[in-house]
Amino acid sequence: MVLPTVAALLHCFLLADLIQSAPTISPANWPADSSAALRAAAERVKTLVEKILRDVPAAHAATVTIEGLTLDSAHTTNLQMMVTSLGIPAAPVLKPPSERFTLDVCMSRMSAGSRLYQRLLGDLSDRLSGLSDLQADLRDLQTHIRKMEEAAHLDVADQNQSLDLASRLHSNYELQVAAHLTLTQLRSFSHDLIRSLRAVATYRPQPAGAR
Amino acid sequence: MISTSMSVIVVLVALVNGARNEDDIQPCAKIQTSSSVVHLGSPVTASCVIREDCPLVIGRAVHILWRLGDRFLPSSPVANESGRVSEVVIPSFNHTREFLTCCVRTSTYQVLEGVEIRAGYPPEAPQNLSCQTNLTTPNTLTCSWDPGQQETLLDTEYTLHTEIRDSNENHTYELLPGVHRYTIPRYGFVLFSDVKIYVKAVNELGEATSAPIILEPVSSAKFDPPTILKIQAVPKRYGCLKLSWSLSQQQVWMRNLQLNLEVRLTTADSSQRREQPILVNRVRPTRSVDRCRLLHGTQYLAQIRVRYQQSPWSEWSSSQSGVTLESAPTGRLDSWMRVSGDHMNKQHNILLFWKPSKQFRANGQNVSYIVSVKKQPGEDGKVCSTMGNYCTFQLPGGAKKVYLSAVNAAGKSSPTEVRIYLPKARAVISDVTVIPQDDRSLLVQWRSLLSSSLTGFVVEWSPLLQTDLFFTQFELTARNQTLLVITDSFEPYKPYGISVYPRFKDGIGLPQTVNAYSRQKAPSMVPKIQIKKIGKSHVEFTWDEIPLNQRNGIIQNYKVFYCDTKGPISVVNADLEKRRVVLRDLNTVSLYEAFMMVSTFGGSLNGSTIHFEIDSFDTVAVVAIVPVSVIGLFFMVIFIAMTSFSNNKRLKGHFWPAVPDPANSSIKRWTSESTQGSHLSLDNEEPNPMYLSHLSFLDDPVKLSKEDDDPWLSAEDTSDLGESICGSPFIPGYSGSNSDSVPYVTVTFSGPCSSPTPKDPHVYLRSESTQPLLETEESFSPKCYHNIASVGMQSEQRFFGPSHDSVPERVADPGILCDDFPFLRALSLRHTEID
Repeated sequence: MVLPTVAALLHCFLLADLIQSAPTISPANWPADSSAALRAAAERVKTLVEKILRDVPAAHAATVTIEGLTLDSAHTTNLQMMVTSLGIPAAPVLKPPSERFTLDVCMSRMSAGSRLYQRLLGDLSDRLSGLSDLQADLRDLQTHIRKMEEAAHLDVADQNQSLDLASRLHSNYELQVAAHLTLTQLRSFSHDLIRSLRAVATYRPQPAGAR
Repeated sequence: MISTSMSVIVVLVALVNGARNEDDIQPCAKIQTSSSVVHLGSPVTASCVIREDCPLVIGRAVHILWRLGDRFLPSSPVANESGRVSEVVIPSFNHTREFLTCCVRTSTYQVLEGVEIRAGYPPEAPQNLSCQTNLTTPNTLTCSWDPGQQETLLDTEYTLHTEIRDSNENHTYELLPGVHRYTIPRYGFVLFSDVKIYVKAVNELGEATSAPIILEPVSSAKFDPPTILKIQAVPKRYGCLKLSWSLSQQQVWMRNLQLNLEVRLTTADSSQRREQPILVNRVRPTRSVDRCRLLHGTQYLAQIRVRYQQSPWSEWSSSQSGVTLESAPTGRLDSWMRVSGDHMNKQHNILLFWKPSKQFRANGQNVSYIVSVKKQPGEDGKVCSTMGNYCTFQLPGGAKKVYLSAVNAAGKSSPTEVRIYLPKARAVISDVTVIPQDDRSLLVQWRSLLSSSLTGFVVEWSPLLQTDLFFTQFELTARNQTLLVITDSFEPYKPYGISVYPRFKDGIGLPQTVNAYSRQKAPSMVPKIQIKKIGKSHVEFTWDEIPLNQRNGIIQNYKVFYCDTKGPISVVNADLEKRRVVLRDLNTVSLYEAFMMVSTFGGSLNGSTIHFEIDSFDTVAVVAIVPVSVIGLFFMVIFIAMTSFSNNKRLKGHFWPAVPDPANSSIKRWTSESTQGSHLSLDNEEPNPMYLSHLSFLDDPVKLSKEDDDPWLSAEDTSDLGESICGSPFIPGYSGSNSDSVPYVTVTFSGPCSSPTPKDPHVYLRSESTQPLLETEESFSPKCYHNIASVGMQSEQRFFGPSHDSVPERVADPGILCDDFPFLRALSLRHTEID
């Protein structure tokens, strides 16, 4: 019962947010404060993701000096063993919302991804300078995803995975490869976030009676 | 006495040291104070307790003293304590820090213990806390505050506290002493979450906290100036411009935020500025902004600025220009004309000025104007076409009105009808005055006679230093309006001609014209004073007009200051129109100096000083007397001439012998009387060196012994003879005249010329030699003197001619010779006296 409501809300608010001239449509049974809060949080999430996408190249340039490791290089496929050995988890998978990939799953993946990269960057920034601003951006992102969840009355469990990345970073090479992999994955995840937010904006859940 | 005291001190120090060694170094006394840090000016109480085993007090009466800094304080011993306890009360502690010491009296005093007491104020709550976010790299949040008016006088620590509610983060930042601002790094704030910020001040007397502020960091960011990407006309929408813009490159990530935008549009020609910015709320840089209700066909300059919610506005962007769609001009044109020519024959020359009325809209950028005698548009009837604001044309016969239209690329305005008003010789305007209001406006006032046919007035003005009619402006007023503030770009210190014309039902009356300045200053030059006339006791000065471009204002007066070397300075005001002044009652033979000061309403300038002197006689009198004198003299000359013709001999006797011409003279005819009168003076004026350039007088050799004593033969005494005698060979070193050889004559006689019967005949020898009077005369010396005996032959030509032989010719009558030659006569007299 909750899911269709959330979907309708997100649809209304994000659509209204992305298309300025569209009138804001609020469900009659939904408090006006909540809808405004959700809309504001969604707007800010998008803005923060844009900021992260802008800051990643600068952070990469500041931390990774290994020749050939660039954000746009194809080395990532050659670093699968390093990904495994360093224990860098893959980013949560985001998909366009559908009946199978529901909005609460989507929101929880967004939240989990932001937490994941915030912690990874936290481990890295202890030993590398140039990542603290990005780390702060991710903290902000996580804060506002949580506010979205609160506005939508979603109760997403905070799954704190143990990473312990720092204990596996023995050399500077490993450190830089870890930073490269983290930033590359973060950029990819950020693009997925943008796509997901757009998809949510255009997603029209089927009425309950249509099922 | 001193040695005794010193020994006591040494003993006491030894005893104290001994006590320390035994008791693990404890002070002899202990001071307790109410507080070691107090409010400035508050009372301080202290007590001093001396240990019983202190060597200084064992077995002795103790007198405890208190010292604050270097002065003793009054104190009282505490009862029942055997004098080893003392208390002191400082009613008002007015030092920021001072040492309070407890002493005992010895021969001088000994300090037992001391404490430091500090005073000040508790901190005031920090004021005016404000924070601003910097969204360029690195992102920071900088807060600043005022510490409070009162100096605490104590060390005060400030800490900045932040509480982020959304992330439950609290931060405390310790601040450097004396610095009342702090920059919070990026991790210290969440961009889109409210953060509570306050400042706490703490010192030993207390603490105070500023009023907290709650802000969203992005809402406190001053954005970089945005950029206008493009500004263009909206197709098919007149008076609209579409404006595309973006945030700065560093802040483009906020493009999805709903921002507030202000658009400032001004017309490019600044004639119709629209200063009031237009606020556009809740826009995103991703979408363009349309502004409408603008003038058609007008170039606008646009600037924008941006902010998020209530954040400070960014600076204005750089300008971009755009042109709205063009349409045909609308509205009427105000016009004014001057008509000249032969009105009887209806030959009218029209000078027509126009300007846009308030309702007129050019609606295009390149507007031209057409004057036509026909209302319908077309080449037929067109008398004038120009881009300017006036045109001149000759009115076709019979036409009583013309039509004025504005044209641009999009079309033509409906024509404005202009009636031809002929000039009338009616003057109803008087007392035109102009008062500057400010640099851009003048108040024109005038008086007008009441006339039923009067319909209004025209005020026309133009810069007098610009001859182009383009600069002529005008304003129309109603008949009951006799004052007008005219606004134009009036240049200061430049003259403007302002005319007020009356408008009648049937024509234009005679104008009144004045010159005016928006601002005046002293003239740039002072004309040069010219002395026109100097009289017996007065002098008249004149001067040229100051060129218009150097007047810098309306000439108020010319003042001439003058004085002589002794007298006080006098001032005379000159006639403004005639530019002349007469200085009267001047002293003669005094040197005067004078200068002129020219004043406008904006200042004065002094000219250069001239000097002049008043003559003792009147120039006018001289001018009157001289012609009369000349005429009188002329008549006198005529009279004398007639008299002399009537008595030729007498005339010659008086005038002609002025220069003795031996060739035309007869010695016998010279009389001593004639030579003593006019002869000498005339001789001085016009010597005749050719004929008598050298004259020497020689006696016979027997008389030479007396020559030395003869003053007539001395060079010094013969100056009256002029160069002839000065060139005498008796003067040593004489080189003669320009010629090496000098013609001269030698008169030789053997006795005094006055002797009635000379024994030896006198001989004239003409000579020309550098060595005259030597033994032998040259061969070309005159052989004879033809006119010696020719009395009564004056009319005949007489001259020194070469003699036919070298033998001197004897003079027939020496007595006559002496009479005609006065010097010879004088010589003869001298010889007679000597004899």
